[in-house]
Amino acid sequence: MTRYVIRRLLQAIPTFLGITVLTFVIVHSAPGDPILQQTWNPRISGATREEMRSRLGMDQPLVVQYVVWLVGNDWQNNPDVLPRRGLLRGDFGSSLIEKRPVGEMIGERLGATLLLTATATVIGYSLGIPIGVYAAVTQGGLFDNVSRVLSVLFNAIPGFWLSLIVILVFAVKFREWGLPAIPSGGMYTLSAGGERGFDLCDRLIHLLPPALILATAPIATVSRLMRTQVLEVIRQDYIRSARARGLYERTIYFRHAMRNALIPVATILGPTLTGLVGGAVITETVWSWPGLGRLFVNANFQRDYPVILAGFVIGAVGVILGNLLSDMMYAFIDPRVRLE
Amino acid sequence: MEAMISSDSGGSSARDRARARQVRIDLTREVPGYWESAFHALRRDRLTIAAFAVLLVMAIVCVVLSGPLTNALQVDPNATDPFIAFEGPSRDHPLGVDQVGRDQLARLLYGGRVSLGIGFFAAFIIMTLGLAVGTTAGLYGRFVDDAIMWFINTLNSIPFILLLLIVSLLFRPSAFTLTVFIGLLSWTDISRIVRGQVMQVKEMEYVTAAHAIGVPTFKMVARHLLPNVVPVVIIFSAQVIGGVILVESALSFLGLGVQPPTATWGNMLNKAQSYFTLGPHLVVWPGLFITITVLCLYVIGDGLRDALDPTMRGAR
Repeated sequence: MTRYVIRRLLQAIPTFLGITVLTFVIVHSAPGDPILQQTWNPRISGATREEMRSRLGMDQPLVVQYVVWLVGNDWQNNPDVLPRRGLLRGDFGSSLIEKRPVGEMIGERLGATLLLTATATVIGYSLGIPIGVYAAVTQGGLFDNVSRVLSVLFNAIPGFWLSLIVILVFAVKFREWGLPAIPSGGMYTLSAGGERGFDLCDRLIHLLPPALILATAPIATVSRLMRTQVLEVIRQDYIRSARARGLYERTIYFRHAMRNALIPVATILGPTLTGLVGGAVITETVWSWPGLGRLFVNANFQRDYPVILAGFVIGAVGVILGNLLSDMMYAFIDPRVRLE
Repeated sequence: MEAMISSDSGGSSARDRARARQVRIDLTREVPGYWESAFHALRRDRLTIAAFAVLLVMAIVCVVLSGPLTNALQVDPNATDPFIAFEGPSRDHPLGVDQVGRDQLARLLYGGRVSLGIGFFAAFIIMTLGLAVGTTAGLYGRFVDDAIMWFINTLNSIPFILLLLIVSLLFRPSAFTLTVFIGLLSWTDISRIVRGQVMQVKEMEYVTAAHAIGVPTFKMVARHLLPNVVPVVIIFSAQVIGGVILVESALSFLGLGVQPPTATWGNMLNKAQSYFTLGPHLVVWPGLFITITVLCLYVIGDGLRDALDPTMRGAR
């Protein structure tokens, strides 16, 4: 297992480098430039602009800029250029807008995003799996049909619109009608007297609505896949022999059938996580969730190149690790799989 | 099937021969080809037909009738009238007006034209690219395959929406360029599926046989590979169109997709968050249109899969 993980991580290196090249080229091939955008003030002279550019290393050829971004330039000891340690040594550079290390900004927001996506993943799997199994058990029945219709429907509803409708009904209208309303965004209630301390109920009521909406996609996908898999597995011989031995139906489904049916469900963990990273960008924006997604969207609007690039790198690393995790789970669930 | 078996029992007498001929005629009629039987299966699938009908009506109304209809009602999708901003449904404006007094119904119809157009054309690009790249990778294997798969893995490791966000922000796309961007960035899944299919078909005996008698590569692809791959692509086409419409709407909602005053269902929701109290009707309708359209496309996608995948037929 350890050897497999190491090999996979080594294999991820070319992919990772590819990602850095691709994103760097895309970001820098865009028309316009962040310095120009920051210095639209007519009193700033062209010379100042040039100085800012050269201080940030932006007057260098693109290849040099890329290498500096990747490995840094602090060994050159050039007093005219801002020293950087480079991405590979954990330095994402400084935000052009907020003038502070991007790593620091990410650190502040990473927790919020992880909390949201992790909750959505847990909800997605812990609801999707039982729904799928139960739908397969009652194949053709009411529950089965309703859950299938709902899974198609929830795949078709744009997540941001579902959020808007939920906010409109449960936050805005409920408050108008004097019913207990949910908060319309944020991570906790801000109070006039500064920090109020940690309040679990308050945190949960802020977390659950966006997490549930983010979880609709995984619930739909997981339950559908689980249903097909269980239906396939229960036709096999070993299930028939389990029946012949007189085991309880419940034991057959939840112990014997589910274990094998879970295998493909584990493999979609990677794609599910990718989808959640994307979904989180939108969900965080709608629900004003102070996470990386919103940071990234705002950085986009402000052309804050270092933050944008950091967003890409973190997203990509998340996806690579997610895929690795799902392959490892695959081997964990299915002993026949040898990870070599 | 029955006809095929009985056609073998050809008799010697004239009457038997006549009957055999009769049977042979029936045989051509009753054992339909792949596409024909798929079409039959589709026709019996009422849900898919209904979804298709809804989608067709939606497309006709948005693409063909939006012009005449708005002319008849004397509303212009881009004409503003600040004095009636946020007004609810009225005689002149059946679905109310938006934040600057534009008629919502007219904008929904014109927006549908753009949203549907982006969906269909981007899906066309995705299908074409996916088919071309997937076939190339599957057919040539080895180095070509490795290079293509590396590229696909790299592209797939970047969350798609992030890429699209930055591209649409930096290049400020029109509806046309946005279509091209979406198309260029999302063909990877299709090409993976196509590659797998090509590799599978490539190993079949009849392909080996064709190879042995010296069929040129181009003819091999056209005659033997593509007919096996195209159904797979068609199965996914409806789903892809739906996915593109969702992505476009999300982007436009963030204010990064198609820019106003051109309406799309997504950008009509762009500022919706600030209108919860002033104009809830502005939040409801565009999303409803997106949901209905994408739902129809997904249902059609399921129907296509059931009809075109012989192993799925009747399985449900």
